[in-house]
Amino acid sequence: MLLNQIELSSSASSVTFSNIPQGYGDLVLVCCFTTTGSNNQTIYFNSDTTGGNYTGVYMRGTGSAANSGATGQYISTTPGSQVQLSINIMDFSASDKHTTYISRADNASNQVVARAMRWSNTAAVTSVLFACDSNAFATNSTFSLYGVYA
Amino acid sequence: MGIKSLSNSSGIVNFQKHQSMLAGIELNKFHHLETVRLGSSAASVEFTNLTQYSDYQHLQVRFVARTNRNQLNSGIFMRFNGDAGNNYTVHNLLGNGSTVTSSASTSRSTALGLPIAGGTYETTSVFGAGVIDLLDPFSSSKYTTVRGFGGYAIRELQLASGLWLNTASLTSISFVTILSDSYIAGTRFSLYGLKVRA
Repeated sequence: MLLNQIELSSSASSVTFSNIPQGYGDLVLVCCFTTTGSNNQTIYFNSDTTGGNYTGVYMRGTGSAANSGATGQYISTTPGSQVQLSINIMDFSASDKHTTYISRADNASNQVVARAMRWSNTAAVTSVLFACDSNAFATNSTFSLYGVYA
Repeated sequence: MGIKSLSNSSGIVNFQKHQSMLAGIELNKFHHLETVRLGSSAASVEFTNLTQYSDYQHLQVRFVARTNRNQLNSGIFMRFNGDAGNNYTVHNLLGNGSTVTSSASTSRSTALGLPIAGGTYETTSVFGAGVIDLLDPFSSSKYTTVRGFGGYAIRELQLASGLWLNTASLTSISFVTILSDSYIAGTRFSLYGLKVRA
């Protein structure tokens, strides 16, 4: 079920989905974007922008090597080319567990990356902020949020 | 030449109107079928009587899970139609925070293991999560193929492919723990069906 879709008519440093209905099991955020310059992107929940509350592990292929590492709040990195990013935010309305989200970012000119991430908070997710740490999302970038029943 | 309109004068007196030229056929529909959410620990979780869903082309499982295993390398593992024999093959790509490794195994007793958090080894409230696709599981002319992606912060994530060396149509899916552990309360497995035909 498509909950909301944002298509940028001008560049923006972030997009926000607010008042997310709680009647779903999972959320899926699908992003198709370019950026106005090299940057990192972060997903924040419930306006919690403390980077230390977000942790993860990634593995990626760069076209010449495959590697894995621990990651902080960043969920995607771009040098300005087209990115397809899908994020599964699992059991987002549960209050008995930290919010776990798994993602895949495809940047054909640069890298493909999979991540398993965690927001160290048991609160139900009511808003999602997707933001650049510098520069901005370019015009015509789209961000679609879906709810999945469980 | 296509039909542009129908009216009573054409001799057809009872017909249904549709807004789409697909005439009400549901294509590419993704439906929630079942969810098991554990209120107490369990060594396995099972979806049974799957034949009732055989009008779906593909199935998907979405899970959030944790075990009581007090060591690294907890996982969810799948079996089909109750087959615990060595009839499964897997390929994995695993990232553990420092390296990426690829592995393969044949004659396994489970298909598709994915890492999840476990026991006192991880912070309380940390669960693993994943999404698994079962492709054409009701076919009786090909082996059942599955693919999955899952993991948990900050230890591991994995892409996995599994094969059940049996052409039987799928009737049940079991999620088991093969390390003498159990899934804890709060674990959730949800089953979905995807229709790609009328």
